Amino acid sequence: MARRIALGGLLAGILVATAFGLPSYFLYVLSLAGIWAIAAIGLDLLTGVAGQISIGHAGFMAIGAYGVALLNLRLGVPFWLALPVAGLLNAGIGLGLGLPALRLSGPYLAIATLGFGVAVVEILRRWESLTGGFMGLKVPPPALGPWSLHSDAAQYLLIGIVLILLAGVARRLLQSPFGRAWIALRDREAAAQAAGISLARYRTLAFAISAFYAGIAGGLLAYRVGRVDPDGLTLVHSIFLVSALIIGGLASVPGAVLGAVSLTVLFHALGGLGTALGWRTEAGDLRHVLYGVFLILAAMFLPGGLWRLLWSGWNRRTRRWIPASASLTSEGGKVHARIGRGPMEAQKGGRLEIIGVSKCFGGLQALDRVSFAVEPGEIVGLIGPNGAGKTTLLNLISRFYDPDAGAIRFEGHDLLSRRPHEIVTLGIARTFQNVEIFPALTVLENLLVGQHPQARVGLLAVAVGWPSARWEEARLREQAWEILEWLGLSALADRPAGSLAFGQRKWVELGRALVARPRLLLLDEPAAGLHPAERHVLRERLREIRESFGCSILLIEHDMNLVMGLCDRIVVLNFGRVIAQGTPAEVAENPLVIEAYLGKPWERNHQPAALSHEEGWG
Amino acid sequence: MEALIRYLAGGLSAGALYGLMALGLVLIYRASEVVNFGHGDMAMISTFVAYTLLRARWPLPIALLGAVLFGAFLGALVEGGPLRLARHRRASPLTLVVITLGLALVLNGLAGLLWGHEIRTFPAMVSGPPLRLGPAVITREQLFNLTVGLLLALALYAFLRLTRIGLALRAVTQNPEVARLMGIPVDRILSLAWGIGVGLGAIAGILAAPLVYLEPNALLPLLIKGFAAAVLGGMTSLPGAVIGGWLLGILENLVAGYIATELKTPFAFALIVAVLVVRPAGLLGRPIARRV
Repeated sequence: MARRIALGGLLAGILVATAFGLPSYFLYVLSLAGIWAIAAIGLDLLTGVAGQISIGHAGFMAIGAYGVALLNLRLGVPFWLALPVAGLLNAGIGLGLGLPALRLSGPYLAIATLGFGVAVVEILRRWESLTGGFMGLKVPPPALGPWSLHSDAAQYLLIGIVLILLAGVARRLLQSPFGRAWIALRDREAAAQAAGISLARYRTLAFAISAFYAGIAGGLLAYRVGRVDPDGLTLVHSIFLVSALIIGGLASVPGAVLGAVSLTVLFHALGGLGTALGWRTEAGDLRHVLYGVFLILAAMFLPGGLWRLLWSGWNRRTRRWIPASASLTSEGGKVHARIGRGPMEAQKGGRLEIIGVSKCFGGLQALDRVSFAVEPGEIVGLIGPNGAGKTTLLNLISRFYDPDAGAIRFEGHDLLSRRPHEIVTLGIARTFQNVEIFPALTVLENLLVGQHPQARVGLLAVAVGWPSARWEEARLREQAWEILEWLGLSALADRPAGSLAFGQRKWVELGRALVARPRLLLLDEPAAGLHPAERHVLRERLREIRESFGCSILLIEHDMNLVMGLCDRIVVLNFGRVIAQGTPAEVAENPLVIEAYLGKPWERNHQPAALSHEEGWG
Repeated sequence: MEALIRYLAGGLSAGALYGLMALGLVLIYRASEVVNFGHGDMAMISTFVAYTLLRARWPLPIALLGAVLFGAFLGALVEGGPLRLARHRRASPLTLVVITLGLALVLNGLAGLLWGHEIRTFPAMVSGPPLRLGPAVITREQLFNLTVGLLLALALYAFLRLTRIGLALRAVTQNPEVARLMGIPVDRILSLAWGIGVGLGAIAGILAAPLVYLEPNALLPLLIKGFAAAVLGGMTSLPGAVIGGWLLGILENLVAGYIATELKTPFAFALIVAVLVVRPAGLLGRPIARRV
């Protein structure tokens, strides 16, 4: 808190000092830089953080600019009201344009936003009765009571304050469940949904917030320039914003500001040079060429942009030593007593029923009328040769696929009527075969994503830094920390998960599933890739999870030692059919199982013992 | 009724150009999984080359051929240069998109520096009184554009189906890794796809220039409509791109004729969003499956 006040005070001091110290042309250029920085921060929330590129953001700025101008000219709405209204109007349009984002990402959305930006310019040009056509509209300077804010210093101060406020909002969003949800969806869509994050809700929300920032920036631009016209905010300006992000650094608020400010200053320096040399349009064209070249070079050779370049230079001198590996040993026992009494109270596990489920991929029958159940508190092993349909079944439970026939119920709820992100709120958490952690988030943040459905915070509370939002964040961190300690990962808490060794990632993923307080845990090959000592620890931990969390477990595993030693019951799949189920001993004796794993029984004589050496790498 | 036929004829011929634009975009996207946002500016630069050659009194066919080859060469160069370098550095899809955006900016600026911003007229390929076919009236230019669009689409189809190189290209679009293992020179095939794609864009630009005049931003609407046609066709389907182009041309002409001319470009945008929301796979595209 004290740091925040100090930072705020420092920024305010710099702002006031420069407002009265710098010549007015500098203030003008810096004001424009501040406006572009606001738009760039907004775009960064969408592109850098949520991973959705927009090349139509100048269209949002134009709507903000015209919105402010028209509200002021036609309805006499004062600046102070017109600016937020224009921002909110934009947020609404952003929600609509975000609709395709519900289903798609990547190039499709980029194409839609490109079309949006161009369409906005076209409408502004042609709708002359409203927009004044090519001539545009004149916008009077904002007034504060009796004072008109027409001086360069006053506008500079106004824009600086708005920039600082909105940059603060963006930073708070980034360090909240919202920012983590966006990053999780960006990097691992399936795992993010399995953790309870609604793709539709967060993708459209990112669009709306981003459009809000662009609208505010556009409104400020209209006031600063004193007029709006349709050619002031076109495709080139949209690409300019993307350039600011790539050059400054994606997914970083200071990076967006740095990129926007440096490009704007360069823009006006080149313009000044052009005027000095008597050029007419050449300065603009030269700018395009230069910015295009910068953009390509930065995209190829400067990952993280200028900001990371500066930051890593700074960090190299001050980096602290970080332990390379965490201990995965004994402390589990003593902590779990505390977990048992603490917030993670022992619950009764839930009952999962799979009833006659079939799934076909093209001509391949991946699952054929599969039926079995996982009883409360049971550990059930799902085994079978590669391609038997085990992971497909898990993905059906997680609702990533729809079955062709059959039903899946958990504690009486029909899972098939639920969306992927709703499964975890019913009490089912999972891990993935190819370890889906969120590499850009720290270990602790990975667990916080797992707590997403429990986070009770509103967007506004986070945006203004309301105490309730901070308390909630502290509560979530405390809970996540308990699980980290229990798993012996607390030494790694602040490490980016992407920098961990394979085995450590698997523990992080398990931790992320556990913080959701599941009553059923789906594990897809938890032991694969772990060395024998880690496998031993894993077996103990899974037992403890059942004992202290009261959690049922359904696990796919090829390590027969683990399966035989841990599971209460085993279900064997082969070519999409259940060929056997029962206790480990029953299954190991079953001739069909032996045949599926080892071929015809008369070709090999030592059956059940051989099973225990069978290991597969799915 | 006569008006309707006129709108249909105009729509089909404009749609043929959108289809050519979309064909190039789809071919490039399918081969290299890059959406070429520089497509419009590459077509624009090629059209300026044609303009310059014509001003230098080159014979029409040779000037046009030169410009199209220039476009094809430019496309191959872009793929063989920055994009290949980025791909070898394991660049993200975002990076590849950003590179094409950067190219768009560079080419746009270069065109301004070399040719200026004044609006220039570009000669039409054919002229003469409009043709009457019963109640239908169609200008010679419309008929020409429609024919060229259709012939080029058929030629591309024949090339992909009947030649060994076409087969190799189709293999690369299916699975570049396996194609490489089978001894197909994937890099060269990708350059070829970009060459053909941008070459088609150049032809579309040259045919559109007499209608929209020529300056560095003149082909932006054509790019948006090319994208709309490609999305309508499914973004991954070549026949879809052609049909999407015709359909877009007809629909936008109906909108322009019966509602307002100004709405042509906004309509293309609305169509993109509508298709993506209602039927993301478009008319003929592969359903977009999510991989877990």
